Amino acid sequence: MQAMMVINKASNRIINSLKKEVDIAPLVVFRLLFASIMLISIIRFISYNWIEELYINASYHFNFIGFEFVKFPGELGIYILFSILIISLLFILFGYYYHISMAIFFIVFTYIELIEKSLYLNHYYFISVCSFLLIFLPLSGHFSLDEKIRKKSYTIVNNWHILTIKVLISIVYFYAGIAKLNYDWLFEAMPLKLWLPYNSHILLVGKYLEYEITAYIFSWFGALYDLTIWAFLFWDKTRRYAYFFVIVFHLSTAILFQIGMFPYIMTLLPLIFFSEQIHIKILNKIKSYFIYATKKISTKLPNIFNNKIFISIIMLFFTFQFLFPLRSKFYTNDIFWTEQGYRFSWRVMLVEKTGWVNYKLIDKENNIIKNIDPIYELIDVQVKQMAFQPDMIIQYAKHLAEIHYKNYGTMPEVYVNSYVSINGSGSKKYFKSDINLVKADYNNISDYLEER
Amino acid sequence: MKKYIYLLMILFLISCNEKDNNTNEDNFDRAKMLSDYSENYIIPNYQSFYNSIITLEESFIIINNNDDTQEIETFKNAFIDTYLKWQRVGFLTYGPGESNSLLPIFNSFPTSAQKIKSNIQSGEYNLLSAGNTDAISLPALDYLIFSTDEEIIEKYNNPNFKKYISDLINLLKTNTDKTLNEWQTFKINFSENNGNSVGSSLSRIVNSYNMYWEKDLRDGKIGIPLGIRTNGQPQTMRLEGVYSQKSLELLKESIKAYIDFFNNGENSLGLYDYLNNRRNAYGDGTLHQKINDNFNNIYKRLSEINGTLEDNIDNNTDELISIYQDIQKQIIFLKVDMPAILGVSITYASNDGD
Repeated sequence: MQAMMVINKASNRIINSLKKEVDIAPLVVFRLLFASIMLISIIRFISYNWIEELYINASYHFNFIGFEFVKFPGELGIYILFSILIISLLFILFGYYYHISMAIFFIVFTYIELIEKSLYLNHYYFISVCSFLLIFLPLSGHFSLDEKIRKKSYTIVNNWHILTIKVLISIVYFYAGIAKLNYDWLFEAMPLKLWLPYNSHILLVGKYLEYEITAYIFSWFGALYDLTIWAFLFWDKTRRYAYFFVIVFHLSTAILFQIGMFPYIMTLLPLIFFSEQIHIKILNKIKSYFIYATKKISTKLPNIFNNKIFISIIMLFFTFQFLFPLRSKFYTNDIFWTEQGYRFSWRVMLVEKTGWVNYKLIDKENNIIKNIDPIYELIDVQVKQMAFQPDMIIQYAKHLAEIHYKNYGTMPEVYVNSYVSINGSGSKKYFKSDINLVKADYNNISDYLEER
Repeated sequence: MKKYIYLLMILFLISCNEKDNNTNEDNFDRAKMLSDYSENYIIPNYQSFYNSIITLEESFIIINNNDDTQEIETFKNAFIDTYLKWQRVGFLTYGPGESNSLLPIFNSFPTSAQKIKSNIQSGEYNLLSAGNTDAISLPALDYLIFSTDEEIIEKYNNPNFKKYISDLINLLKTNTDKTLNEWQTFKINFSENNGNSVGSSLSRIVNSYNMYWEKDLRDGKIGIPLGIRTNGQPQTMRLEGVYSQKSLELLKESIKAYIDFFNNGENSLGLYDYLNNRRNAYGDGTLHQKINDNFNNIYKRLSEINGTLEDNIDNNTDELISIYQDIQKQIIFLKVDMPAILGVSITYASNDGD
């Protein structure tokens, strides 16, 4: 009985703390940051001519298994999709029809990511996941055009609204840290031992990057950082120091590696961990630059934001976020080799893997044998990515068979000659050469591969 | 908290300083490697290619002015020499070599005898038009000089033929001259761009080295003539230098160029030295040694072949397929292993990683 009471008491306390009413400022600042940094990212993507180089120039697109219905929408179509992204981000920035805009952003952004698997990046996945969560949060309650239209301000939200974003960021860090707890990373300092010396031309610190000890320090610090930084960001006493490390960590990754906007996104978004007072100050500062009259009536947040369906969706979402990165455990003991469960699980900057693949197509009925090198059909990013990812190697084999079937009416056999190198350790034969991949099952990938 | 950070920083600096004394040889001077490449391989080889074009031009002028058909042998040899020298620079598809489109302009084969003849007949042509890529430069000269085609056998008596040959030589000369001159200034930029990201000189070198090896050397010079695209049906008319019957020599010379480029001489730095400087254990040896071994193996096997490549495609197919496979094996070293160790991405597009 007493135990029950203790549990009851504890759970009541947790529920009360989740429901605690707090100022909306952190959510508003987060909305402004998210929309701005995404606008910059998208405009950067367009200005580098990547829509043409990475989407339009590719005549074949690697679908994600299970999302084959996602098709490349053509040249005009892809430009329209990117335009919708920009427009929806402007709506989000100004908080105008916020929820519908965020939903549109989520759908279109995710659709674009699903078109081409060779362009998969964890940080794009993070944006998809984060924007899904943001659909259900009252980010336009205040300092927004929505507020102006409804003539009501929601300046008070519940603690859990803000907490969800912090938890999501924590999940990313934590799983990225767990992924680093492998032999190569910790005891071989791989791949950093390979990667750091490339930067020896950087002023002042360059030559230190050549030393092995530096790779070990970076590896262990990186693992420790990812595993614990979220906890130090949660804790009032350590938050300032923790954020200092956030800046140092992501800035150094920005200098050392070609990872685009990710370091900047991950430097800005964790600002949400700071206290509501600091956010109120920031928001007031921002307000002072605008003509912003606060004539609206402040009211309580409408019930919809604490609606049971909403909360169930968010709980399901987090259950998924906790479990999905773990799925590789059911597939394989050697994720660097088979890649099963590698994507969507925050395995970031974890391995240096390169590959080479050529195909042999055999049509016995028509007496045709062809050697096919993917370099002639695919763009170089695709060639590079597919060469070490087993599902893509199989996918392309099936694609070659389909093309042959269209031309000759017979289903050929397709075999593959492939090699990969992991962390610069010398290339090894990858797929078994005597397996016809046309009927290969994506769930049995490890059966088709040689031993590592 | 702060104390610990200071302590860590001090420890870090101490550990670095200690290392500083004994592992200086760890540092590899990429900028020097790049300048060694431009000074000791790229510019000298463009220079000797250019010189061979000048010799070719001079020997043609003799024929042209004096109707001295005795000199035809000299002219023929000068052309073979030019074609061989080309093999040493063909894969340098970056910087001025790229901006002057040397590879697509100079060596697109098979050449079209039909187009060449109609160009000569009409006397009106723009050699650089897109439609003429297979009627110009080295493959076209190979045809004009060595073909036994009856219509052109009397070529040295026909002013239109002579003009076409002279225009082709001029095209080679102008573009090579331009490339050579531009390298004299480009070389500074080339060695300053000493990072490893997409667009860096190292990345351009490694990417071009690979792309040419796959597309132009493996497929163009041996694979396609062997019939890899045509269900095993040989395509000997698609050989490089098919009229002069020098396909084997040209192939051997380009392998030799790859070896020379990889090692870049005794006293200057090259990819060999860079790999040697990195940790690059490969099985029971090292990668740079494996690469050299296989290069030398390919060269040796080609040297042991008797007769022309054309004859061997018909009569010695298995041996050539086996050599083709050794050439293919080299791709794995050059494209999978080398970039991983040198930190170069096999791509020209500069998208993000994560």
